[in-house]
Amino acid sequence: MTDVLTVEDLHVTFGRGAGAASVLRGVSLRVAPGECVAVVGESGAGKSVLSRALLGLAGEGGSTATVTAARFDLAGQDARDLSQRRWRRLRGARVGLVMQDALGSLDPLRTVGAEVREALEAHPGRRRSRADRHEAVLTALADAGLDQPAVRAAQRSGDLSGGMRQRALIASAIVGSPDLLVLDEPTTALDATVAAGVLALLARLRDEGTAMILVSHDLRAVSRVADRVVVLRDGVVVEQGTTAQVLSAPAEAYAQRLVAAVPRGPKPPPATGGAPSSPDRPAALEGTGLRRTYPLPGGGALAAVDDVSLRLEHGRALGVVGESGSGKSTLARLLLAAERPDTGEVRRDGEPWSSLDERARRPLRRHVRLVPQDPLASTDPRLDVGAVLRDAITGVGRRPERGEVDSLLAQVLLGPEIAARRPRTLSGGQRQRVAIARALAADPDVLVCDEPVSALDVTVQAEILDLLRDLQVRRGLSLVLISHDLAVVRQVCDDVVVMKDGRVVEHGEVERVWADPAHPFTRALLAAGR
Amino acid sequence: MRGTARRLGVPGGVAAAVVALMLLAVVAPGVLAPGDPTAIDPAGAMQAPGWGVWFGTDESGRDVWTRVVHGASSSLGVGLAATAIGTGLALVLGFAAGLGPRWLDVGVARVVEVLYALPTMVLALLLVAVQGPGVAASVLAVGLATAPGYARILRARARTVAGSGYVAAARLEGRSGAWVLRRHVLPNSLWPLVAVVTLGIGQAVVWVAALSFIGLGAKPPSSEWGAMLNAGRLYLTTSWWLTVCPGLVITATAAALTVLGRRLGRVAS
Repeated sequence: MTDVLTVEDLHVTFGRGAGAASVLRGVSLRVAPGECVAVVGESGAGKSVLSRALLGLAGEGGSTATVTAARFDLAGQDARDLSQRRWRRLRGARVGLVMQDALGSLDPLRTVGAEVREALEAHPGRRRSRADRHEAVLTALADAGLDQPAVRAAQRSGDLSGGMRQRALIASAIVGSPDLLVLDEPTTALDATVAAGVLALLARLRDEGTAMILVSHDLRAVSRVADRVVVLRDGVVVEQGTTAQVLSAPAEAYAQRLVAAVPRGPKPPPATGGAPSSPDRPAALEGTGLRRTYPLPGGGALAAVDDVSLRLEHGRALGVVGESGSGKSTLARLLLAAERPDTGEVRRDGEPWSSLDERARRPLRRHVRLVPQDPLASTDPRLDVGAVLRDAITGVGRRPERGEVDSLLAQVLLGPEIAARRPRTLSGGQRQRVAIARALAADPDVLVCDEPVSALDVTVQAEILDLLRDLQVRRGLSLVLISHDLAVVRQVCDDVVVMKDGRVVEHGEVERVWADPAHPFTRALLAAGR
Repeated sequence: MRGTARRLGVPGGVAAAVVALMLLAVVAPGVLAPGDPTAIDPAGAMQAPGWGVWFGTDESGRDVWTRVVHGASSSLGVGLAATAIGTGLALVLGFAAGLGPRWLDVGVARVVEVLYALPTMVLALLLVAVQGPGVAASVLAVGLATAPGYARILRARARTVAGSGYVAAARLEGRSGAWVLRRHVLPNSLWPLVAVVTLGIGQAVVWVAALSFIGLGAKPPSSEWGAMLNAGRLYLTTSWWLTVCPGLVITATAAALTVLGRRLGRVAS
């Protein structure tokens, strides 16, 4: 059978002359019908540019792109010198694109049915009757795994959940029954259990004969669907082969690092910094019967955290795992005393914490520090890293000593030259290190880390997790790690709490929960992550 | 500092130079025009612009160039004073609405809306009717008219900063509200205003000149630019330079301040 897509020596360059940036340099790719090829790599590798270039869209979005290739055959046509008009005829009919941002890709004012139908109507050559088109839309929605397609077709994107939106987007890509489907990070914004469903859908479409290019940074997602994997780095294919081959025995050094960085396995020794819970010492943080509700628009209230009790022992690391909306971030805010619980109490070291007056709590805040999910938003854009760290030191009533900023940076494995930089000029991993250094400046007992690695590339993520583990042992810190990813928690934590709909459905030692999950939701979460 | 200069670019540099020249005319008019702006010379009246009389002379033989330079202090000064009143009022209203309790926000919003609804000229007429014509009335009118715009910008900005992640982070680090206000909220709210205010001075100069032109501000013997326009209006058909020259200076001032404000705005962001 002939390949749906054959690309040889594809180059994409933005800009001209001296300022030209070469994003893809000699990429070759082929996809057969019924085959799923995954393109993996870290941010900046050129994955998204590749997926756009395959649809003749590389130049969209402002900057002009120069695309050259030795061969670029798409669905039996030479696509190298296609006019925009010819490209439009190809898109949707022969090749479909599914983007990462399902919310942004759907018009909030139009029904899902209208969005999907539009993909059909864009191709006048295949004009069919109105009833036929409607039928095709419903079939596509059903094929994309949406229950009650007739109901969904009449709804708008705001009425749908994230997973349903992604499915609607896939429906609009497959309604024209294209030969090739290009998916750019289709599951990145989704919860693990939802993503598992979408991946299963992709596997089914592939088995039914659709050729697919799956662009992703998530190697675990890739391993479930892809037949072959292409590893992209700085616009160059550094390794390709069958999925099993690349993911289990990568040959090239970068591919090896990428695969090794995927969090797997238990927490490496020394397993625990602190002693196992001793009954006579009060917990570093202890919440009892915590409940926090938010009023909903149009009356009623949502219990974001509902009757949650937990103990964080000194020197131990506690993971809080759950999907979006499970209340784990609200729980973090309660532990930090950023918010007051409606009922229940948080005690720190056996002393009152959440019930204190803010004025009385202020001097104690140095003991409990936050490592935020988005370190960039947490720093004043006017200040450089040195000023941020000096503020953190003076914040606990000390004068910064000579070289103290440098030594803080050294603790998070950053050089002293970082002090003069603004956070927005740093990479994601460097920013997160600065955020950790900032928290350490107060010499705290407890670090509350809210999704500290979810925005980071997998190799950077592994480094940050290493750092957290190391700091916990070296400084005897107690750690709360909020994450949607049980595998991440397993790398760092001793104990885990699994949350769903504001309640704790399971808690215990990580390895126990990992090996023998008691609650069905924990089992689903584990199955989705494997 | 050098980075800022580079980011101003050539148009920004030219604008900054023009503004600097204007400021020199305000501070030391004698340097640019050593003569006496009120010295009359009936023999040399109504001279067209030429060598030594750059902007010509008026019906009493006064040198227009000298008068324009010496008028800078009243025109620009009035523009600055009006903007100062506007921003001063806006600082109070904007921060009260942006950082204060909800009822205050709602209350201030009503005041700002009412001020917005009245056109500058109507407001000026109202004030002149109360106070009688003069420089003070026109300054107050333009100040009041510009305040709601600045207040809205400040309110929005203060709210954004107060709700930002870095303010939340500072509070969680145990910082007091006053410290956060001083360290984060004030600088981050005020810096974007610098650019807008620079733009606003140019506009205020034009408005104050317009008020003088229709006889509600400075009176004709004064060398305020709008008043000069008004006085020269009678001779528009015979002696164009009496209106064109001060008019060009007003335009140049407003344009330079606008360009500079835009550039500063870009540097700020």
